[in-house]
Amino acid sequence: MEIFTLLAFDKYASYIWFSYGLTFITIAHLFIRTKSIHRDTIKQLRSKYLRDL
Amino acid sequence: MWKWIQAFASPKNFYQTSAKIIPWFLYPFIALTLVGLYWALIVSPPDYQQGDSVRIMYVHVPAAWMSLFIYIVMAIAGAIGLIWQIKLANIMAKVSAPIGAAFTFLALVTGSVWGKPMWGTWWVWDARLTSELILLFLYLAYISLNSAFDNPKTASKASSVLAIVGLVNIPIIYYSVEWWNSLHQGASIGVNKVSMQIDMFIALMLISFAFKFLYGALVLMRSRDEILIREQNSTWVKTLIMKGEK
Repeated sequence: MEIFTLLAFDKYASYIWFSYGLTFITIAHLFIRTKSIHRDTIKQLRSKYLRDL
Repeated sequence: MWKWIQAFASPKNFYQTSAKIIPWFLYPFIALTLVGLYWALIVSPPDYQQGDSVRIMYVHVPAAWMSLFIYIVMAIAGAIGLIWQIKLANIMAKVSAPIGAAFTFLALVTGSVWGKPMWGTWWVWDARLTSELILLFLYLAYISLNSAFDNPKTASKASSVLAIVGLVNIPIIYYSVEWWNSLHQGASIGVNKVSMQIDMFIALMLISFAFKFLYGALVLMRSRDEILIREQNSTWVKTLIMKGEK
């Protein structure tokens, strides 16, 4: 309970949590995008090589 | 040393070696982020003037530093690619751009969110904010220019020139608070100067290093895919993909 009181940050809570939330979303987006680029690259190259067989 | 760099910079060697290096960036990133968040949100005290809103600094400042750092890396890599025709340097520059743009966006938005309770406004057209916004446009211009050409060599040349020319904006961003009157506060950390409480400094450093490791991991991961695309006619890529690379 004490930790939630500590993290309430008074009148600045919405500004603080928005900033940390946006940071989390940006980092998550960078990771997800990196993974999806990798998946697409492998898929694209595999279908190209199979076509060329 | 030069021979070692040349051997490592060959796409095939880099592809194989980077797979082993990625965890060395990812795990420190996770550890530093967790400790950094604990320090930023719990250990570090509120500022005597700004109160708890100072906690926005622990994501805003590292993001702003990363926006400058990545641009410098991108321009240097672009220059190396232009001068020595090293493919890997061009790849590094290309994959760095979207990551740099993301950090610049983050710095601008978190800065704006911090500005509202402190300055009473979301945005002012002062030198620091405007030059940082120009940095975002430079990143976006680099990304657009790089994807405007079918030939990766031409794309790299054109976008590298843009990155090098845009480098002039970096000292403008850094010194803007000294050169012009600005609402933005001056640097609290410099050479032989730290004008903040020690726990604030530790939190700032932990998250800064976490972001550096994150950048390292993402650049390596994205470079590997770019290598596969550019080397798709090589036998080693074909063998790798057909063997079931995931």
